[in-house]
Amino acid sequence: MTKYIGKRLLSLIPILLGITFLTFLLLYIAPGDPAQKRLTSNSGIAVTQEQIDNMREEMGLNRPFLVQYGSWLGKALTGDLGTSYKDSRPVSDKLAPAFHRTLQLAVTSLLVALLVSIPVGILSAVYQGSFWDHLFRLLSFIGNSLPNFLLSILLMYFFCIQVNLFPVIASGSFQGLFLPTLALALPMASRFVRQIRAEVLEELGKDYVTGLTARGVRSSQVLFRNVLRNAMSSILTIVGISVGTLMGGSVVVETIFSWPGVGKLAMDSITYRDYPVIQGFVLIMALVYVLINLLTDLAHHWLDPRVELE
Amino acid sequence: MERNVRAVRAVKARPKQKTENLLLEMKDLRVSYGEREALHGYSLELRPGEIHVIAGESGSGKSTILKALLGLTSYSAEVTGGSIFFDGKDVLALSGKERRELLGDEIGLIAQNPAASFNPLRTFRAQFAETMESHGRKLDEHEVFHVFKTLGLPTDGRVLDSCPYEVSGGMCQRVAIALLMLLRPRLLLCDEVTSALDVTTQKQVADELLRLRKETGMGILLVTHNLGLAAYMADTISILRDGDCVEAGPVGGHYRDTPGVLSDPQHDYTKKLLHDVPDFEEVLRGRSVFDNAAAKAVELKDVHKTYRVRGNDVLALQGVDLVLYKGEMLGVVGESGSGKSTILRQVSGMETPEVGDVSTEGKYQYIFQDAYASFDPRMTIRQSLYESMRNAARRDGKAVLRGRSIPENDERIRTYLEQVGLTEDLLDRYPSRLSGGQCQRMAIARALVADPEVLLCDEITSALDVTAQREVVELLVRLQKELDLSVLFVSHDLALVHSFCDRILVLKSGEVVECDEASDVILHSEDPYTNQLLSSVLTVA
Repeated sequence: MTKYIGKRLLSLIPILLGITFLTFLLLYIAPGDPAQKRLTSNSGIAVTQEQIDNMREEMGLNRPFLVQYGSWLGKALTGDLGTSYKDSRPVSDKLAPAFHRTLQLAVTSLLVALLVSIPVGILSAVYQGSFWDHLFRLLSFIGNSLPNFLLSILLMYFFCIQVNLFPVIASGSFQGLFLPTLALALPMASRFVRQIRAEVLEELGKDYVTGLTARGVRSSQVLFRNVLRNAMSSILTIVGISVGTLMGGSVVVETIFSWPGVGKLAMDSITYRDYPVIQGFVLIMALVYVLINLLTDLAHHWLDPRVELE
Repeated sequence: MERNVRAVRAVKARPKQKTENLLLEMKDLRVSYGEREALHGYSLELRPGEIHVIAGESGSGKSTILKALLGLTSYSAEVTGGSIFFDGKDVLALSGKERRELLGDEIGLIAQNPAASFNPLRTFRAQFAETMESHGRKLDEHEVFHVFKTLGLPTDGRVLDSCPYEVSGGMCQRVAIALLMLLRPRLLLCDEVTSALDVTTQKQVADELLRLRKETGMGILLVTHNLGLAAYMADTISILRDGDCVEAGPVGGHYRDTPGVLSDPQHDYTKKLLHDVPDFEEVLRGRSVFDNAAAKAVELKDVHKTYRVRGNDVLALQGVDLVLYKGEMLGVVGESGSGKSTILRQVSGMETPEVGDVSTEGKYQYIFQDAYASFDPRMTIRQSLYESMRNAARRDGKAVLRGRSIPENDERIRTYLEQVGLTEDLLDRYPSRLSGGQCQRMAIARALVADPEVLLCDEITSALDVTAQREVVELLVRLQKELDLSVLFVSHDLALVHSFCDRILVLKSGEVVECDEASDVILHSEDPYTNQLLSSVLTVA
């Protein structure tokens, strides 16, 4: 087990190297010049080519590609992710609070999604074909197909304008957490409901359920201690994937609700050609994804020992 | 198939008593699956302490009777007529909840497939406790181990604290029986309980059920296609065919003094069933003798194989020597866990032994015990056969034919289908739409289209009823002769192996006990282990 975890952590090294190199390369060949952007957005007046060249020199952008990457990598290894082009603050100082915000949103929306989808998914499966099953499936179908931006705007329209319960601009307040949470949780819950329903139905159809019932095991025990327990390993996998996506921050939802999370930060950094922040974001995300995958695999093995760790 | 409706001898094992004394009474029971009626009026009277066997081939409606009795919603069987009285109660009039309350305490089931009894991912201990708890009882470890002991299960925590997926099917089945013995229902339904067990365990289980019946006076309804078991255990028997009871009455047979159905069969179908049961007198093909100079198809020299289970080493093979000559049929027999299948896995190259040499000459095909599981459920039979032919073409370096319909392949498949006695219309079905016998014959056809020289058969008949079993064996014998195949036939059915194999190898705990000409091993063996195996065989005549 320890050996396996060690192996997986070691595999992080090539993954991170590859990802940061690729991002660096993509940013390098992408059109747009951070030096020019920096000069124009600060003053708004026209700049000379000389000024741009000086700025490029100052920012180290005129060096060869591999030298630039090497110097970034060297610093990153010591924990220094560089400073933002935009406001010269250290990248880690910008990422940390944004990451914190996104984490808040991720936790609340995942909780809401699970709280809704687990009971609904089970009910749908147990009462397969009933009125409620059809209703839940219809709702989850709608939830699945509604685009994020539309849902966000609809929520905003009802809760902020029609009912006036919440502020339009959330800015990271506790009260402002509500609407972005819903906007993220509803589509996710819809996906979960369908998956949980399918998983539970599959388990319910297995022979051992008949065996348990034929032995007179109470149906609540059949459902909760056996069926759900066995379905949990597959459910966990989809939850794991969703957590990864959530941690990346939703650009759309965070932008619409002005939630200062990593998604919004990444989007802003891309518009501003703020390469160090983008690099830092990609690095952290790769780390998060690999760790969540590892945790999911370990949990999967723990729940179903037949799944071998290799 | 022509449906044979004849006057049915009423089940009258003992003079008719008052109805109150009946544990179970079924009258003219009719059961349908959707539109199709699977049971056309079945009647039965069972008193406490009585054992009734329902026998017949697969699809005859045997298990349907149990399903109707259990009334579990997951079964799609629907009772369309007749009545079931359990202990004087009209079962069909009870609510779903009331019926479920009967299960476990009053009516217990031991299913054919041990996987059907337990959740594979929870320990037996947890599941025992859960079952007991559902019936308002506590799990008593001493009691559990007492029952385990009578069934030959280890009485430390080894098995009890394992999960079902960690133990063999036979072991799992015994644990399931142990749990039912703890529950002690008044009526025990056994659905082909012994078909996954080797002869020794089979007899142990039969004896244990008999003892249990004597001690507790429980009634047992046993569904089986093993007529030897029926003869050994039953008081009364009914023979089913295509949903009709063709014959019923006291069981008779050589274990009883009184005549009955098995000793004096009236109906032609019963006679055919009895004829299909393999016995030690029958030999289906002339035995060939091979000397050391004969060409060898497979040779194992001092093969050792160890498995690691939960941190413990299990010695599966401990220095096995084996030779299969070209054109020979070699039977490998032994109890579950003796290493029979392990040998085949080494020969086929699915696994490699730690010590020893495995040499194979020629192309081989593996045929598995569970024919259904050996086919991809999402591929039609034709697709599976095509796949086998593609693999064979790749192996032989020939052109690989692709497509949904390949006339050349179909031509070849047709000739082999004829040989295995199946029709072409089955090709476009999915495996689940075939009967057990059909599916196993398809598995043989799939092996044959790949042009094998050696067939590795792993308990290929043990999931089949006697009629299908005989068909498969006769087919194998014919094919061996026509195609000059070498066959390694692993089985726990000694009579069956004796009926057609040239030589028999007896295996015990991964070691070869003896290996000799078939009739020498069966009729004149002096080895105590072989004789113990032979004495456990339950026979009809």
